Amino acid sequence: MNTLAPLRLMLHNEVRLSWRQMTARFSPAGMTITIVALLVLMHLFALSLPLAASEMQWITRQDILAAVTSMGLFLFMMMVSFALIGAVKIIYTRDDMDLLLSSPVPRQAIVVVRVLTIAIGLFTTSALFIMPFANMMAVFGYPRFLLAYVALICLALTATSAGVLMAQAMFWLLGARRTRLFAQIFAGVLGVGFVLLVNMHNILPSSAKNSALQTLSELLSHAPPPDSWVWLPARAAIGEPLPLVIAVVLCLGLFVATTLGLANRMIANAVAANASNTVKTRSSRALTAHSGPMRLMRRKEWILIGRDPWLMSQIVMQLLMVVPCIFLIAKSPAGVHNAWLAVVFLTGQLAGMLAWLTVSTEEAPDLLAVAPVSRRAVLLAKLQAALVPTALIAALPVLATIYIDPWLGFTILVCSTGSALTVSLLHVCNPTTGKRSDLSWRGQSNRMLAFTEALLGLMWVVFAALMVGLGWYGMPALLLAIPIIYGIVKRRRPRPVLALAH
Amino acid sequence: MLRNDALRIRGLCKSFTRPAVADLDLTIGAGEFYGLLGPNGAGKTTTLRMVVGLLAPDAGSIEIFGVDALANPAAAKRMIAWVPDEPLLYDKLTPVEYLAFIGGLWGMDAKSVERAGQELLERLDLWANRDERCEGFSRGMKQKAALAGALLHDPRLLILDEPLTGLDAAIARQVKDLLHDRARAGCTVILTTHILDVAERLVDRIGIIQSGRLLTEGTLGELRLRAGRKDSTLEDLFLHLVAKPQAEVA
Repeated sequence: MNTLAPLRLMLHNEVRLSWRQMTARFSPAGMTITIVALLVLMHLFALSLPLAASEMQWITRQDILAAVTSMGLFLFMMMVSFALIGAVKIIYTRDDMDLLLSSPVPRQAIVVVRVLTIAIGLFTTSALFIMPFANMMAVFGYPRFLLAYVALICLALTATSAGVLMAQAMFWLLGARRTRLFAQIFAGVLGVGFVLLVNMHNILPSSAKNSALQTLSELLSHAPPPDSWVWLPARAAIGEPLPLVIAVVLCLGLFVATTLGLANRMIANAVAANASNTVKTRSSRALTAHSGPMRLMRRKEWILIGRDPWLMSQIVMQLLMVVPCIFLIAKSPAGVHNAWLAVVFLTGQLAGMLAWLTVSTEEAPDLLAVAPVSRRAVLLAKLQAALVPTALIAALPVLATIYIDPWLGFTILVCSTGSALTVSLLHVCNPTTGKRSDLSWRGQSNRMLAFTEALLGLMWVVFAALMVGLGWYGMPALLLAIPIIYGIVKRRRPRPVLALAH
Repeated sequence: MLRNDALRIRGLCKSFTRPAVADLDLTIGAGEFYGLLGPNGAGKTTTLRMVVGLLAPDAGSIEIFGVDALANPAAAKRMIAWVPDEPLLYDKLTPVEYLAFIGGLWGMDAKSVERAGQELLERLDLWANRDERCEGFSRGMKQKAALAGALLHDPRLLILDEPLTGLDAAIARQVKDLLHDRARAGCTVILTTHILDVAERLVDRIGIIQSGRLLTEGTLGELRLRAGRKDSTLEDLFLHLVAKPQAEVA
């Protein structure tokens, strides 16, 4: 048997599994059509680049290299965050690892295939959005741009190597239990940083933007000449033959050295991660000193969330994703004053996440259904478990706004309460079934629900804006919320299991 | 109904895409250890899920110690405990916290929870693990923690659906001993299992269900007599009985 045959087979299997995971909630045909449509759209959009290229002759080579370098850095940052998550998954996801390790395939080969799958994923995802520009440049007489494919492969391989190195370093420094959490947080911070950097142009006020541009041009004036090695990645990216060959050799060398060099360590870490499951905890007295099922159920929910730092980090990350929007509002004619209205949306989002966690990820629904506790009590306890922490967290910005401007504070208090209540009611009345680890992707199981959740949050922001803009005359708009809340409660779809609890 | 009936089911029906339970009549006396056996898809789990209130029947009645479980589910639920094949646990809670939670749901006072909890955890060799989160437990340990939760409020009717699935010999022995002791102490136990040796050794009476109907029931001796197979094991009897209706249909 050819020694490469098992590698090909495993790689084919990994790619097939990734594709099936992608098409788990869509049909393969639907996914194919979506990708083709996206490619067509991106190519149409990319047409603007060759058309504008003839008018950009005045741009210096150094400016082009600086622009390509900064774009490459942004992309690299994003790729590293995904590669880190992928590398951590190799350590923690057991799946078929036992099967593969018990096979006669060399350990290095197993790791190479797993890591290569990460690189392939990074390349294909980025290529979907970037390569249409290279294709269009090639069509319009700049065929050298097709070499960007090679540069992108190099970038994906380097980002994957960086992700693997970081994962192993974290495992060595933090141990099996904390690595996953810290990797998720780190990758999330990188992701949020990427979003903020991409939106920096919109976020910065004019004065700050001007000074930033000035600083940039000063930096560029001191930048090394275009032939310097500093620009090597950018020169490779725009298809200069020698830098490209050097980049290919370096990136491939790094990838091979990282994967083969760390293969045994990664497998040892994977084994250690799966073996170190015991978590000692001082049993909480909160559940022992009970005073009724409602209190117990609330406390149970809080303990379950509080003992899952990864879950809490995901909640914070999801909220941080709204930060660029707040900057945008602050920069708009509405001003900083109205940026406080984001609190209304964030409160709804937080309540929605907590309600989804308490209602839809109940680990033992049968236990609650067979307990002599009414379904109404169970749902009410879960609703309270979602709303109490939301209220405590929202209290600080609400109090701050009351201090700044009492009417603004009152508006935010009323609308945040409404937002939190309607969004959490939506989840209580329309429970789905999910795992806590799916928090970030909870919208995928019910897109309509996710859309309604966002819409309800925005609705309360509009109410708040009306109240801020019109004063007392804006208050009647709140009456619109009554039929909406009635509709949510009336159209509820009780979870089959909980539905039978009396 | 006699006052000492623990469970009385009459005309119970439940259909999904096809009938799962069809006009089932079943009576189990108080203090009995009853084995409900049947091939896969016979309707055992559906029947038990209706008894504990997890599924609504299409028709029929269920009485638990004289209480109409469909009309007054809260009162019925106070007397029963349910142990399915997949343990009903919270991964992030310790066994002590889990038992405290169960105790609270069933309205027990803190002292009783503490006392009964410690007794059960010690009996099931989980006391040393009382401050470890259940997420790190093996399947057997999880099943033992779930069993401790079920027995905590001293149920009058204990319903177990394949409780020995995936347990090693030592843990299975602990579970069997505990069930045996509870039955001797007056608790009514209903057990479904595919391990017929266990049923043969543990249960007082056996009911064999197929296609949602009760095929036959009685003590092992009565079943042997009825089948005309004096020295048969339960496994032989079971295979003989469940094969018969299929042969008749053919």
